[in-house]
Amino acid sequence: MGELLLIALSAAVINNLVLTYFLGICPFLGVSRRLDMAFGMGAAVTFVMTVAGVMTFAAHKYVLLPLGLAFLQYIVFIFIIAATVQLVEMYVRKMFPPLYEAFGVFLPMITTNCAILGTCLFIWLKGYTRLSEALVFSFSGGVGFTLAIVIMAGMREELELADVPRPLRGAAITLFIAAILAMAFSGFAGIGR
Amino acid sequence: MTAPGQEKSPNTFLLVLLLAGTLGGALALVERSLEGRIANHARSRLRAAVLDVVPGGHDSQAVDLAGQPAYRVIDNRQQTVGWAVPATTTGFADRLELMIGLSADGQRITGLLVLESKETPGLGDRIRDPQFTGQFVGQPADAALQAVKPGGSAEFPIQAVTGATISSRAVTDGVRETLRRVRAAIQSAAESAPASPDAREPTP
Amino acid sequence: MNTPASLPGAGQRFTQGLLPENPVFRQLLGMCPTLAVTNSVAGALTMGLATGLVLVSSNLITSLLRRQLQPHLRILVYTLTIASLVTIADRFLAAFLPEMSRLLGPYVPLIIVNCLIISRAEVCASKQGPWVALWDGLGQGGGFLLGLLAMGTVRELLGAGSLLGWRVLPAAWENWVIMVLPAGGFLTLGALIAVVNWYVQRREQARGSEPDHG
Repeated sequence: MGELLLIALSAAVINNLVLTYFLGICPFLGVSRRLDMAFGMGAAVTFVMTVAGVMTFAAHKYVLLPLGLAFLQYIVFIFIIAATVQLVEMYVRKMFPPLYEAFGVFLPMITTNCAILGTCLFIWLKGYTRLSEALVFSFSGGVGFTLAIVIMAGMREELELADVPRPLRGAAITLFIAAILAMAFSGFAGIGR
Repeated sequence: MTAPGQEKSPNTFLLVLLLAGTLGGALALVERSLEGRIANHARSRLRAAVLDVVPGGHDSQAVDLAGQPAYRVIDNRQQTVGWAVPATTTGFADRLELMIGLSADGQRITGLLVLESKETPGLGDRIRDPQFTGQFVGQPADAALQAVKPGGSAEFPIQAVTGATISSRAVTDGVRETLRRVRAAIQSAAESAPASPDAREPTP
Repeated sequence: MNTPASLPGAGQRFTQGLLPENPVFRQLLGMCPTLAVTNSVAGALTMGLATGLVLVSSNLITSLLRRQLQPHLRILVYTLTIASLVTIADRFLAAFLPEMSRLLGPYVPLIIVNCLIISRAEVCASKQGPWVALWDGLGQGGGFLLGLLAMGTVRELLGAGSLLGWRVLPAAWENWVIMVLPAGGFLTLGALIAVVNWYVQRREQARGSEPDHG
């Protein structure tokens, strides 16, 4: 139990996907203009990430490795992610129309969100061997992503009112803020001990 | 609009099949021809680490010590000269991977190597330096090792890297706890292993 | 669906990719490797070359198949093609540059979801012939490599006082450790983008052309 808590803490804040591994930077720069959009995107990513993380883990551990097909890992992973996104989109549209209204627009973008594939790969690189670890890691990764993108959106809403020098407008100032956020998040390092 | 679409579909299907076949074939070919090479790299990396922490070794065999994978290091006369035990621990930033070397009788630490660390470059990363890891060499395997800041004291002190107390403590705790788990298994394996008296002598 | 006259030709595609439409500084595509692997020049170089290679191959394949694929099938086929190409590149790296492969870690397979590759397939290769697609791939790949090298040079020089592992700054230089940490990646990219913006905006003004924004 303590170990799972440590995994969750590490994935969500200490080694935040966006701020230390640079995963999911595109939506981080693009979508994080408004708070509600950012939250919707975060929720969609967290959901898909959790499902895809568990499914790719199971596929790799119980199918690819026993068959000696580990080199097909990347192809199978991206296929599973694309299929998951499709299924989630269909299911949500049918069963929860209001929810679909809220974050359905983000779903198609998620297939090429590198945070999802990155998380699925990190589960293996970090040497997790149990399904529960994969589940906790991928869910907390999504929480960490949401955290970063929501904080960013909050700051950018304020930034709209600021007088930013012309060359810095848009991506440049966003990246500077991200740098400060990354420094702030590095303060979490060490609490896992 | 439907006519050309329907006319095209078997064509498209064949084409996708062809593409899948070509790429799949290329993949299989690449994997067949390179997998030996890739596995070799991983093996030689591990071998280098194992031989680094146990001096005087020539080759190693994977063994299982009470569920903990480890390596028996042998010289060119097949005599056991020591043991190498991989360990993982949580560092400042992320997991740390260590390789601990033990003497043939499992009583003393002969070497320590940090295999994998994402600690801060210039600070925590200095746990890789021999200046730090060298302090472990010669310590008894059952010592209550403890990382201490300059001026601190303990029964078996390991001087922490300046500005990286947490990383240093992580390594020290990792070594101590791993050895506590495997010590008994190594000692019973050492007694049954064909370790000749002269192989035991050079132990510091 | 023949190439409309309005689409740029091979030469233009190539030069546009290098600077005017530079993937890193102008289009902001492929940000994840741009930030993640550029704390050393060697990492940036390897990543740039691998991505360029995959980009050129994927552009060629996409362009050859451009008349056969219906839109709904297209993205799926692209993705699986790119995934296969990346797997091949990854295996070659692991076999011949094992240390580099370990250093780059998951960022090699993450080339699959590099938006630059799928964007070039959509913008150019699915509309134009293989010759143009080839030069487009070379231009955009070259532009991406340039972007990564610029990042890597700044970060390794300031953060470690070296280039390609060779110490170039005097021993008195105190390394800015922050530059090789994640925060330094964001900082460097932000600064480089600002410099490029400043340059472009100044040139626009100097040319006397009417500012079309702001």
